[in-house]
Amino acid sequence: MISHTKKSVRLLLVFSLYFFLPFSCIEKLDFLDETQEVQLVIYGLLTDIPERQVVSVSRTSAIGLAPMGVSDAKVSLLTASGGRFRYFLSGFGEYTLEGFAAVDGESYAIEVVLENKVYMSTFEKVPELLADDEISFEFNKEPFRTESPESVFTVFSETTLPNSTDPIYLRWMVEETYFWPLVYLPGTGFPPPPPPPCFISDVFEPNRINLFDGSGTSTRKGNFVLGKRLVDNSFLYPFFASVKQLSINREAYEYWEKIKIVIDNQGSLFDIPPASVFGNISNVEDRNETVLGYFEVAKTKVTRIYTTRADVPFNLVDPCLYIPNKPENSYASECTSCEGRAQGRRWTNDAPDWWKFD
Amino acid sequence: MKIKRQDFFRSIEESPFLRNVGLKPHLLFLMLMPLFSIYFQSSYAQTEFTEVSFEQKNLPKRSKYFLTGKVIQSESSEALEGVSIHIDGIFTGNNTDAAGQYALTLDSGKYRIVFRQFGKKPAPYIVFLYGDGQLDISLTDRDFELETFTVQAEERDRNIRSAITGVTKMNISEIKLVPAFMGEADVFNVLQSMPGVTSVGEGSAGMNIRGGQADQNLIMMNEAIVLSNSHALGFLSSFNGDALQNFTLYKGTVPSYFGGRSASALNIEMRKGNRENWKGSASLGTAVSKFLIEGPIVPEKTSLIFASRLSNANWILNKANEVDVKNSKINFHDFYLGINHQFSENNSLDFNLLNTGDYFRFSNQFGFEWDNLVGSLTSRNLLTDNFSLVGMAAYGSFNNGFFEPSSIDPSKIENGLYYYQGKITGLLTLEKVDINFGAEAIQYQMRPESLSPFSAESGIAAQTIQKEKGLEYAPFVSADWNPSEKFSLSGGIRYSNYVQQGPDSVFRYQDGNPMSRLTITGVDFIESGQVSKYSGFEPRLSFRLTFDNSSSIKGGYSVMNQYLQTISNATGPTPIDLWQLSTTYILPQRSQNASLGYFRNFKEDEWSTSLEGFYRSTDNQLEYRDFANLFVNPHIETELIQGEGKAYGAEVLIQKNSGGITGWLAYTYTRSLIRTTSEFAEIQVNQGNWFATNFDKPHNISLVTNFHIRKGRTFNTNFNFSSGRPVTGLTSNYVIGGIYVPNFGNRNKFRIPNYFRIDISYLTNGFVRKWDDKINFSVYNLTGRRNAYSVFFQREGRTPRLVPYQISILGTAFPSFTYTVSFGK
Repeated sequence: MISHTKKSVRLLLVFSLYFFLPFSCIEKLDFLDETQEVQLVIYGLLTDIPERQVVSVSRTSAIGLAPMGVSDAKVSLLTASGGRFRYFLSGFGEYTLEGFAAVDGESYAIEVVLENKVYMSTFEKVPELLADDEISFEFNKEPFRTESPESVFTVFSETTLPNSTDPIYLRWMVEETYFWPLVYLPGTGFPPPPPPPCFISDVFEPNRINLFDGSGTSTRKGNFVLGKRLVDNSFLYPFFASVKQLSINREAYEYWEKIKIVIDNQGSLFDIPPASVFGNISNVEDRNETVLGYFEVAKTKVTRIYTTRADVPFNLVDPCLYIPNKPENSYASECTSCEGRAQGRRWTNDAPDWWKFD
Repeated sequence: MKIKRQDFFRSIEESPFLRNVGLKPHLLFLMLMPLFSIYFQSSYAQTEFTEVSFEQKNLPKRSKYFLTGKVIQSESSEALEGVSIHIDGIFTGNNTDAAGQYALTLDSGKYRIVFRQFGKKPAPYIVFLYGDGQLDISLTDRDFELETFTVQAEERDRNIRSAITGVTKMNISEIKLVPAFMGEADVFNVLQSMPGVTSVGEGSAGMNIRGGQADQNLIMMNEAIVLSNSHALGFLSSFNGDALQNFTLYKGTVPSYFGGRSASALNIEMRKGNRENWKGSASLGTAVSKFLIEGPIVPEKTSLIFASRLSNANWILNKANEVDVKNSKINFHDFYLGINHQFSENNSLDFNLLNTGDYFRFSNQFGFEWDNLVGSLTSRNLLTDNFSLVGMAAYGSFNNGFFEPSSIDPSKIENGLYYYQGKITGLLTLEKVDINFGAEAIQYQMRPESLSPFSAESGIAAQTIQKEKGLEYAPFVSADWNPSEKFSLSGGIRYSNYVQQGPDSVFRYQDGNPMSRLTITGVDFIESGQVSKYSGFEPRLSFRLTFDNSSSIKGGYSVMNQYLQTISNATGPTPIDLWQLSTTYILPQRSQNASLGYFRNFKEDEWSTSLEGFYRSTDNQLEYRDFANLFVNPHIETELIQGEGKAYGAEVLIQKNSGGITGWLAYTYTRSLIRTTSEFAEIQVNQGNWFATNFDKPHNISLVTNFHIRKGRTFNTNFNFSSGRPVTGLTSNYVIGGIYVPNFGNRNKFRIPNYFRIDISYLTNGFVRKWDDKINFSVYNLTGRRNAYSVFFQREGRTPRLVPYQISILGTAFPSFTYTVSFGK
């Protein structure tokens, strides 16, 4: 019996070592070798305001790599009444139609011809309803990108829906434009003219999709958070938030709902499982070819609000203060060039038409 | 007459060679397993026979004599039905009847007669029959104290004899020999090592039988439906092995007295309490502690059995290095109470109650909790010698919850259902035909589903929706016809009906568009009465053609309807899939199943082999639509799509039933595919093409080996390999309107890595000589392989792209130790 017991205990000790092996429960997985597909991506937005209408054409690349713009496509806007308007290449995979405005109730489609293949969207009708947005903002300390409180600028909208029984589907995009003066270096001798200021624009929280389905509610008024960003030295000077309300149709709304689910996936087991989001564009001759993206038309309203340094309750440091005798090359590039400050964002030296504030 | 026993191990231990080289016998044993196997094959079948002689004395001698008698259970004196009688190594086809009696007519002479029943020690006799005789036998339960383990012959040749194809039957003695998670003898664990049975992944609830979805299996305890039947994310079943008698899985043709699911039926018989003495056992384990007590409340009349099981595994999680695991929690329990009252020899009443509960939280990421109650009352009445009636009434209740205790808006969703089940079955036994007939009805009531904030700070708005109720009922009849030893036919029909009852809100949708939240045009509220109704005939047929005593061909065909299904769109398989009744828009499943198999045993049933093929097609199989939002959704049909499913494959089983080494090798090739069949292309999944289901794992291999070392000691291994299950994966990223969008491929286009696991267990007697104590030491996932449980996608750092990750619930070896002391006689 004693011998038997000893053997059992010994066995137990040996195997108990496994108990102390480290647990490791989450590991990166790689499907890269199996995912070498390339798909065409076409995205276009046509609004009813006379602005630069854009269609982008690109191809997907392997996971993690930015999609590649396609520059040899022929892009046209088609109207249901037979009209055709040509978009022109304006950048890497970006095609523009300047000064065109969609008409309420009219239907439009896009046609993309690429490598002798014709890709076409369905005809989409411009909605006729719009809501009223009353924009406001707040500066707060709250967790944003980390779990500890940060200085955050938030844009809100109090939206009033039109008194109509027709359904209304809304999407909002928020864009910022702020003023950034370059440092003035008088130098020696005759003082040069001060450098023109920069107007730098960017999309607010690009991965935030603001949607509201007004079809199933009797409530005519709603309050929405439309965007947040960290407060930084961009707020040293006048800072505009432009809220673009897009009234879209049901199909476009459903498309954006799906995109929202895909990009909001936080990895929880209860997240809705991801899937490919298919849009309204297809290869005319081969419907089975996967074409990503969407062509949407929208009745549009832009509302703006601005803030100045006086509104900011936090301490802001100007990195570009002029210091006499400080060598020019010791200023950061953001102080001496708009491009250096913009770092890939859109910028211009000319104030936009709407750049008006008290 | 005694035959000398072989004691191989003693001779090994005493070997001078071993003593000289210092090699421990157990290690040597492991190294020389294959040789042992050969050795045991040759040394098997050494058994003690009792000699009995019958003489005619003063009466005239005859050429034939009668041998009659009764077989009873030694401990309870209960008559044993179905004990097989083997004469000179061949099954005679004779079994004891319901009263335990048998009658043989034999030529005068000497016979080797063995009375056998699975789970009992065989009773071998040498009978000198030179006159009519009465031989009464008592059989005792097998407790593995023999040096060689033998699966009793009645069971060994059941694969040849049984008329129904695709039946897997086992008792607790066999189940205990398969190493399992936490050292627990477990039905599901054993089944998953058998051919045709798989699970979606480690720690996933339910089983997939012959390519079927987990909800397509009818799981019963003493024929009462059990909807929630697993613990610990599916690592264990809810059925305590100590209280379990046996189980029968019908994975081919399901008899017509079972219905309501479209793939298989699993009936788990729980034990009755001992009617003579009080006894019990207590177990303390590293992960699970158990207690069992049984005995007579009224001797010979009323018995009771109570078994409980509680987890105590949290201290193991606390030892982990990984913070998420350390912050996790796992608790579960199950209680089983069985009371049996014997009014008379022919009339008895059974009360069974099973309560199970689970709580699992993975760090602050997610958690499940559920509890389940099933109670049944069964009356068994033998009305005449050849007609018996069984009536059963049951109640089941299932509450389910899952929660996300995350820092932002923690929330909890709760749902569940309860049901009443009634069934009456008559069994008429004629000379060559057994006829079963009766009816079954189940009233389901789904509980309201609610979403609520999980903490006071949560911004989640509370929400509750009402769910459906429905009545399923079916008359059935079946007959087993055995015209000859060589041929038997089993056929039956079930006519199932389902009525969805009010109240319910039936939404109306735009014509020409797929049903969607945005195409609702109105709603009809039906306060009471019939909302929708479905019905269908379900023919069942199987045959057996025996060529000789050791080989047969069996085939079967069945149609089955299913009115209660589960739906899930969780990224990984979860134990909290939503039960959904058929409604106006959600049509019942209807499956057609066909199977054909060849069975052959060797060496007097020492080896059993089988090769079976199967095919199933299913109409109206449920699938979730892309981007479905299933929970707290009053119009669930807008998130679902139905389609046709097909599953097919082949199974091979090679089983060694006796000797020093027993076990089996099982290989299954199975495919499980589905395609959605909507008229609207925009909601079709994978463009309406066939695609693999979540549980499509083509190759499955398991090797279970039991080494019966010495008295009361066994060393067991379980090797398990399967193909990785399909998942939906990222194929690329693209940008629209400045938004970085991950692009996922077709559903279930990719596969996670293959699954591989080795478990071992060592069962032995305990430390204290005077106690009846036992030790179970086991290691689950011996190699510590990190098998994937689920795949999810998350941003890598601050980059906008999503990256796939796999969760391994058990990324290491999991040892457990259980010490059990039995008391009482």
